[in-house]
Amino acid sequence: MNTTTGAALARLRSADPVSGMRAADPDDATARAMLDQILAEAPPVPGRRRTERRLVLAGAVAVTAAAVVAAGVVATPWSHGRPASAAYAVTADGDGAVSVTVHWDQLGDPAALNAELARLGARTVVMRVSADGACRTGFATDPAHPPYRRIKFGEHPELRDPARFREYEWSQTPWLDQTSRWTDGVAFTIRPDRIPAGDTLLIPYELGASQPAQPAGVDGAVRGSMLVQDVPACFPGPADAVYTTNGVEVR
Amino acid sequence: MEPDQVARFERLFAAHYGDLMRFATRRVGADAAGDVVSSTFLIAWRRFADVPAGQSRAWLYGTARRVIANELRGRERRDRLGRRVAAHAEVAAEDHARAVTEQLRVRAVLGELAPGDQELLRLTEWDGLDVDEVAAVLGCSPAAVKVRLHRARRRFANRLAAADRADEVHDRTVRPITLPEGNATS
Repeated sequence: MNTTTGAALARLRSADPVSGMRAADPDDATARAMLDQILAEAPPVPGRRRTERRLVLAGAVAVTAAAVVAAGVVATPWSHGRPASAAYAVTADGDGAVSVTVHWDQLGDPAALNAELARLGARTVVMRVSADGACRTGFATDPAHPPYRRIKFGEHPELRDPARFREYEWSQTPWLDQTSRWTDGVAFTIRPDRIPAGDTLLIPYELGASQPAQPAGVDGAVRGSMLVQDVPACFPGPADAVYTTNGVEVR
Repeated sequence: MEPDQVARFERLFAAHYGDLMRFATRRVGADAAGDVVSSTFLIAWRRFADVPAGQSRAWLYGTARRVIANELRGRERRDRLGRRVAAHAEVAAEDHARAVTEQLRVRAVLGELAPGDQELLRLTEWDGLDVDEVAAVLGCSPAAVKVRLHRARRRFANRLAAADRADEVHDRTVRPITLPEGNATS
């Protein structure tokens, strides 16, 4: 590198727009709250390469699921504890609530699960996120309950506390309780009586792209839930859609 | 969840949080930088097994770049960014008024380069990444980075020198000539 280039690069380094910025401290309250919030998420799946996914919806259920592939998936009643091999199980609780447990990677066509939810009056539809390009129809969500929220910690400093933040998140969706989650599935309870009149609870889920060498190896995650007045025919993929406070709009 | 896994992630967070905040602040402004860094580390946590031990910094920077790109694709975010860019423009104008011209001039020259050149120079000169890390961030070979970086540096230096010369000419044109007393002609 000659002198001219060296001098030019020195001037470039001096022109760094954040050169006067105070170094961000990983031990300060903001950073610690961020770290705590991240670690409160589902634990990482060990030893498995997964496709990156968009982080789009706030609140509600947010879990990751690992690849556990079972042949001959059947639905069996679920009572207590973690089901070992059922793709899903649905039970009506005595108080009108409906409890669901599901292994996303084993679910396949959610039609049977949705039929069971309808039979129990759950007012809920589970829908797989379409592959990119397969669904080009957006839809509106209940304007009174936007699925996408931004929270300004400056206006709500108490929510920097991860526990308070989780409480707040769940307070925004009283019709859905996440009771437990594990690495390959989730259990949650729907409270249909708390779903606003005329709305249906829509729970999208997505399976990551399979690795070529693992045709059956998929993983999935529930992004969140949303309230819709008209259930869409399909749920557009992330490449086709923009998630807004008004719903899902096609790009 | 293994305790060791948490401890290793906390070390990763502590080691790179500050650098990633600076990286994100340069690109999306201070307001949105926290969101970008949080999303980046969340992805790192969810894919912790994929983070290469020897190149965790490059992996994080590459992920942060994609997070930022995704952010910018969203209409809502784009609108907010538009307002933020406008705000930055006001700050720049104010800085200019305060005669902080050198930094603005250098950044303007950088902004005239091709996007690929700009990115290489930002990653090396501002973020301090080495060739291997830049290659990992951009998804190309270290040899390709070396060649492209050499050319980018040369192009930047040439453009900066040209800008300096243009300013000198401009100065000579507009600067009033002061003659020694007694030599003035009417």
